[in-house]
Amino acid sequence: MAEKIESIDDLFVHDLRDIHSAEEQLIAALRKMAAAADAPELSEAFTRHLEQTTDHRQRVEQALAELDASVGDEVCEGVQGLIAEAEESMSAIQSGPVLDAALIDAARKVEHYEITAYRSALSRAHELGHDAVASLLETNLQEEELTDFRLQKLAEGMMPYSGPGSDPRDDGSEVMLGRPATADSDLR
Amino acid sequence: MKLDSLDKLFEHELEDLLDAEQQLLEALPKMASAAGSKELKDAFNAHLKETKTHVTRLEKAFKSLGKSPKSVTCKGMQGLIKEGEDVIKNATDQAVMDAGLIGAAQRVEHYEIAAYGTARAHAQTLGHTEIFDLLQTTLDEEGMANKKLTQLAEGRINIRGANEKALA
Repeated sequence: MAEKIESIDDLFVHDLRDIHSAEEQLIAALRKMAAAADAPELSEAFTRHLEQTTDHRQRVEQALAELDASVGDEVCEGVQGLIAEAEESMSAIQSGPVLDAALIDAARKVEHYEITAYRSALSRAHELGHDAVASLLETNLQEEELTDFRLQKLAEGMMPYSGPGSDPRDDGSEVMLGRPATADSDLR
Repeated sequence: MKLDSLDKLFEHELEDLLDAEQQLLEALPKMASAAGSKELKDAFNAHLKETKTHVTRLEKAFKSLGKSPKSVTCKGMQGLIKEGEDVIKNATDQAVMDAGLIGAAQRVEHYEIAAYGTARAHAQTLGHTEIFDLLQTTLDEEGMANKKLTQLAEGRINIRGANEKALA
């Protein structure tokens, strides 16, 4: 990040570019994670999220276009570190339930990162009056939240444990507006 | 280290968390001094104190396993802190800096919430009840710290003023 951030508008564009880089890195990582997962349902979950992630990247590109901003060459160092952790797990752990548990943990850390990033960008979009951008971000946010919830359910099904919170509202973070009301029924 | 059992994965998670907290001990004073709003400074300083306690609790967790405390570089936290440093380096307006710092700090909190949540669950699975309690206490504090940051972000620390100034 070389450009100066002089206003909230600059910060908003910067954050969107950061998210774009996060989604792009995740596309590459999810392919590897889908291949490394042992349980077929986990592999499917990663593949499914890979498809969504491709849509997310496109929505962020639309959002930047809406703001007349380029995609830029920002690298999201946060997600870079999180993915490095997932790669460490893939090289240190043999395929099987322990690796699956580690992959779910790594994926949920990425989801938490994205949920925070989208929430903060969404509230900034509202504040700055960018309604079209807000609605693009909201769609992505809801899918990320649902993914985190699905991973949680998978973890519960695979091992006798649950990750952060047994409910998506119980992750120690703020209850947020616009959370998918269908999250629970969708999974039952 | 080959992680071929849940026990080893759990130990690895504690080592990763210990490093994450230690990195945060170094980053928080920088964030506190870069913050403009007094409330935000106070929040970072208060969380610095808590973070010291978190390190102590992790050391206790190692003791409870009969191990000496060890850490492995937590690359996730490294990247998150770098993002915060980028904000400090590149924000030219104090209110924008504060908004950026809150964003960076919330990413850190969410990382920790996810990491402690997972480690806590593994402690439960493995029957380490003493460690479970230690992790739960820290998890609660991370959750509170995140809520505090959300409140500060919503209080908005005069962000509109920053925009007007930038447009003027």
